Amino acid sequence: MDTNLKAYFDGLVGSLGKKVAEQKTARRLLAYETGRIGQKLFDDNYAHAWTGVFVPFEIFRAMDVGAVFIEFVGAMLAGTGSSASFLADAEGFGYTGDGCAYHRAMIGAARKELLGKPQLLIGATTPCDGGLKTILNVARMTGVEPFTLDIPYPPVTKDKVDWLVGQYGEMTRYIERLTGKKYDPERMKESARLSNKASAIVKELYELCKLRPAPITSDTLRNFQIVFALLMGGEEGVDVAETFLSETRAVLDSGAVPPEKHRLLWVQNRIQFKNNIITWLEEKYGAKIVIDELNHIYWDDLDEDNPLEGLAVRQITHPLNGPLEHRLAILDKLAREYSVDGAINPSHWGCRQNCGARQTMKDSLRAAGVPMINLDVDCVDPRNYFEGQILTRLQGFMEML
Amino acid sequence: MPTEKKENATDDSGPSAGWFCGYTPIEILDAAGMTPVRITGERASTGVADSLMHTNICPYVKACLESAAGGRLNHLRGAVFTSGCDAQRRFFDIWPSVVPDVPAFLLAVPRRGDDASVLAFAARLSEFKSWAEETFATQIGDDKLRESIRSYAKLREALAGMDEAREAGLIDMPGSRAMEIYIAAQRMSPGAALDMAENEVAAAKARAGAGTDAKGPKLLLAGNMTDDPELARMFESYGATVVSDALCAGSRFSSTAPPDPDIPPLEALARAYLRKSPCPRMVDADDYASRLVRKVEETKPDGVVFHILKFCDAHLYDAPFIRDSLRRLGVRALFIEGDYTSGSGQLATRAQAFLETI
Repeated sequence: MDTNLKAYFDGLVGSLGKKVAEQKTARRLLAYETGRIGQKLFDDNYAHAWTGVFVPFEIFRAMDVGAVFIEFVGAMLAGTGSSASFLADAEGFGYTGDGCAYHRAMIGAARKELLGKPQLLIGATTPCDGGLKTILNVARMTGVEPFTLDIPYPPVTKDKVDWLVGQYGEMTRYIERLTGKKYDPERMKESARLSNKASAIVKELYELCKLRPAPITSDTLRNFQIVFALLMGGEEGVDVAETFLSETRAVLDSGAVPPEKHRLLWVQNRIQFKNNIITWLEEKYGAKIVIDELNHIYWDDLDEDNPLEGLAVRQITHPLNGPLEHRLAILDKLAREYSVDGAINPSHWGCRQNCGARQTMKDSLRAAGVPMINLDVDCVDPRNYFEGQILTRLQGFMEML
Repeated sequence: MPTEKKENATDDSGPSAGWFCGYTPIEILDAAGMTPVRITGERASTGVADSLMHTNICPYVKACLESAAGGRLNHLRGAVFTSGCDAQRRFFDIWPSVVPDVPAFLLAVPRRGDDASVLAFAARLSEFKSWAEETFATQIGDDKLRESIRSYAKLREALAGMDEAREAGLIDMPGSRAMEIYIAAQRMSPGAALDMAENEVAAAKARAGAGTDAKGPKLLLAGNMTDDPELARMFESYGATVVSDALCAGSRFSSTAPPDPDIPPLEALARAYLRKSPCPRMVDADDYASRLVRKVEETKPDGVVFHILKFCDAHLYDAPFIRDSLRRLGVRALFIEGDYTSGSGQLATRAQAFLETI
């Protein structure tokens, strides 16, 4: 995939569009809509932004900014089996192989102009140092002026919310200045309305996953919310959410719910390149991932008349923002509400904020009666992946369960 | 010279509070009656810290965690962490489980130096001050705080003057000695540190007057928490002179401008800290990498030693740009990823080879 991605997204949308028209399945629709987001990066009707992972996409939606977060690119390259060459390129230019491969793959992709040139680069101080530094490095490479959202740590206070809302104002002016797109409060209001609508449906979907057995497979909601965020604020987000919900309800109503012996919580991100872990867990142990940590609507509805404040609160209270206390509480809550028997943390190599927290998370979950295993996998770089070793460790873990 | 690294204790007799990050306004600790002690880690195995965190976390943080887990920071009355980096944030999370009796505070430090960020930081400093007052059972009045601000401003001015004199060749002080002075100054009260620095500079001036003349290539030492004078000493032992630095515990400590006495002290501190010579964590356009390249252009060292502790994303992501920029300037540079040990035969070989190219 060393050529420009436009052709890839065009082909993806073309083929999936036909399939969706024939039969609209949830995963197919999500992939189709994600491909359409990718197309916007090359569509002159939209401004083109590369962003951090936890930024308010509703604002971009309201301003006709086609945006993808940089980790999305790393994950996509890994998923298509093409991350290695981009990782090698970045390393050859001096980026350390000890860093996060999501970000290194993105740097390699930017160096090879895989996504063309962005008009906007919008980073955030959450969740990690590496993501923000990647945005700033791409800014140096491309000559594009970057913008950084500095997210205050919880707890929420009025001065922190005001500060962040002020930064949103700066950001919209930055977008206006660099692209000519205008911020329209009425469009933002509509974006907030659709975001709320989609969130409510997704909450219903997650409620169904709490049933025992859960009417999903381990892959039904793989990478779901982190990608779904790109659709927030648009009608297509609502459509995707409704499709997932109706499909899951249909599974429940049909009585053909996939069986499960063990219910698992997956911590942070999935492994993005092709592997056999999930199938192996399901087939050998009847183990099902019923909840991913990042599949969680933790925020209240946005006030449609004052959406920026709600977005600020959402960013400040993100589980990966600030000290670990809040994240531990959410992990504990998810483990209880979804009745999980164990948790798997891939412990993505190079992810300092997660690796540094892994023992604390393990201790915390153990205190709640939920064992957790750390796998030590690089979720994007397949070059050092030895599945046999991982399965051996998982075997011990599953037998302990 | 009070340069012992292992004890993490102050030479002063009073109670002490530990700090780690250069964005900690230690004036507030001083005003609370604590001697602010910059914690440095042990140069030993970090087996316990590896198990508590991960092997791929900053070796400085892990070295400090190892000390903490071994009970060797129990003498502190408090510890202050910042949002400086992911590793430090995680260290704060683990701290209560290894040092339960030493209260800790996490100070969120903005990444920009604009006016809104200054006000946001001042609000966080107010929380920090309240924590210090409660933890150390004292009140920090504006007068007391202003006195501490003045004391540290004098110290920083003296250290910056020392750096200028070294760069200009007006005093005879090797870089390794300057590093020792910097580290010591960050582990004692500002008054004692000022006396020490002034005495050292006076002695170095006298030596210069006696006719010493540094020869060999002049080096600039840059990097993150590079606090081991042995690194500079190694280059000096091969005939080089470390004439200046861009280190967190070095000249970046003294780069904080004197806080404005005409505005509320917390706001003045917030402004001074956010606008000092930046760590690569900061995102203003005139960032660490740009300033470093500019400093090299201005001071024209014969070579640059860029020593970065492994797994420091803030610094490592800048390395390709800095390497490329220095190459364009025609300045030789040696990039070292360190593990917070005192060096190795391999490092010595690289240092010698590097000096031979200059």
